[in-house]
Amino acid sequence: MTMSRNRFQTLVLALALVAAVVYYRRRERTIRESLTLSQQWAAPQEGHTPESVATTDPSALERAATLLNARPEEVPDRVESLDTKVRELTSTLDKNRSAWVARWWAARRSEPPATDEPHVTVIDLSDGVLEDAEALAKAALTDSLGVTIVTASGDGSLAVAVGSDLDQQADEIAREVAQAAGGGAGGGAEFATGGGEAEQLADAAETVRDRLGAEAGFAV
Amino acid sequence: MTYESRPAAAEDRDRWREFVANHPAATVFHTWEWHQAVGDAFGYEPAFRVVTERGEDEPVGVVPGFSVPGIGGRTVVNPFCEYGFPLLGEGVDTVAVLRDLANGLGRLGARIVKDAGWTGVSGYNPAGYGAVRTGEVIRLDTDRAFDAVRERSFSGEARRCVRSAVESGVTVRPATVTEYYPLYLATMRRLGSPQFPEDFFVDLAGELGDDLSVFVAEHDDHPIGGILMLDHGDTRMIWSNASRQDAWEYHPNYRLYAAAIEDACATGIDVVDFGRSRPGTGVHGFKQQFGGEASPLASFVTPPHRANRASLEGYGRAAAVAERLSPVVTNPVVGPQLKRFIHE
Repeated sequence: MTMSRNRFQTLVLALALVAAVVYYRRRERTIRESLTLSQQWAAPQEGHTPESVATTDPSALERAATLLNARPEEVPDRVESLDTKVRELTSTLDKNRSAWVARWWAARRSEPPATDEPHVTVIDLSDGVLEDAEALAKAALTDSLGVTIVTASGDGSLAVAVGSDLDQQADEIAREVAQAAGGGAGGGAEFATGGGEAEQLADAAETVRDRLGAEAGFAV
Repeated sequence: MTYESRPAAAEDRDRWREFVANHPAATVFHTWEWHQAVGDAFGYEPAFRVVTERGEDEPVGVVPGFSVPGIGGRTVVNPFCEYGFPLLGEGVDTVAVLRDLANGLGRLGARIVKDAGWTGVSGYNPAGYGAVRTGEVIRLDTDRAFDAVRERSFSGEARRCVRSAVESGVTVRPATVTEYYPLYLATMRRLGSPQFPEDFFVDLAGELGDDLSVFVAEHDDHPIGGILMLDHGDTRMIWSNASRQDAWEYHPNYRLYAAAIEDACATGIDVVDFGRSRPGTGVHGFKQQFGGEASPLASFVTPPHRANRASLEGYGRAAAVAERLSPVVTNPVVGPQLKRFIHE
């Protein structure tokens, strides 16, 4: 009985000791942290203005790092990389604008295709790429009596659109052009894409256009 | 020079008012009227003090505050506001005054002094005060034409949302605190945060007169948001803002902030203070869209081992739970009683 009581007293004392240690450690930490902050507060008070606080805000760097999905020390490199990319995109945009204006002017001065009979239109984008050719050919799908062959010499690609009132197959025409330029093509009845030697594509497209004119009676 | 402080009595009212009116850093939370309204509504023991040179009677400083009960003991603090720093005359030794204020707090007592970076008050550390960061305040220069503020300070998103609100037919008109209170109460219930009693708003309006103003935003003649502003000198404090969540598509809060700023530009207010918020939160991001300069907020505590009493972290952690307990914590009887103990 006496032994149990002694054990119980020992346990209570041990718990009290642990609680006291925890309390004083937390108290010491609170004092240290709060006094450190009040000391830091005093430092910038000379000539303190809201502007000076804003410019030294440490969270600004962290926010920038989060936006860039990078660590704070990587922010300068990321910003430099972004700046380079912006300059490149700006340059590309300027070039594209010049090209678009030139093509629009050329189209304005050319003969419009016949819209009441089957016809073939060949367009060569001398510095274009597949995305440009695809976009243009898709726009031409509204021409129900037209076959439109767009070649992009920038990356040696092409796209073909065939109007819904015609029997021709876009994938067959694309394949004919591409094979003549040493490449291949694929797609469906109304829309197909392909690629070949860039410098041969425009001539191959014109050859196919002429064949359609001679054999199928298309206006060219 | 040695200083002493004494509790402010009713006969100090006029000298207190004069001192506050002439002090360049004074805020609405230093005014006698603020203390009257808080004291009447919550029944706190007044603890605002007049500082004098030892043996003299003329005030060289005033210190706002109330003795607020808490679980661990009483805390002297200026509750429900951003600023509670001592207003001291030129040349007064801040450290000596702060040390004097640390006396007489009792064995379990503490004093919390709320300050901001823009005030320039220093001396807390030498006086033995610890500190806890409580957020940031954003202050916008409105000593300009509103068009200049909108174009140079508002973000593109803020301009777009204000324009959208106007095009959606959201209008703003002056209103009373009793018109604002239902909007405020609905917002508190949505957040699960104990509310001020309506009598406090009414008392405050009565004490501050024209220095308290309210705008209400309406859509199809129905109130969808409101904003409560406290003016002092050339500074306007946006102290409370509320809106109906089901009307957020009309951007009532953008419309109200813009209206408050436009009114400030037109009425000789030089600074609009958007009040405390924590960086990284949605509220802080919203305020940042109107421009202005951020300034840190801190609460200084003596003795420093009781610094945690000034921490607002606990309120943030409790917010998620509080939302679920909203019907209880915003009960008309329970809410105002809880508010007495949540003196953030």
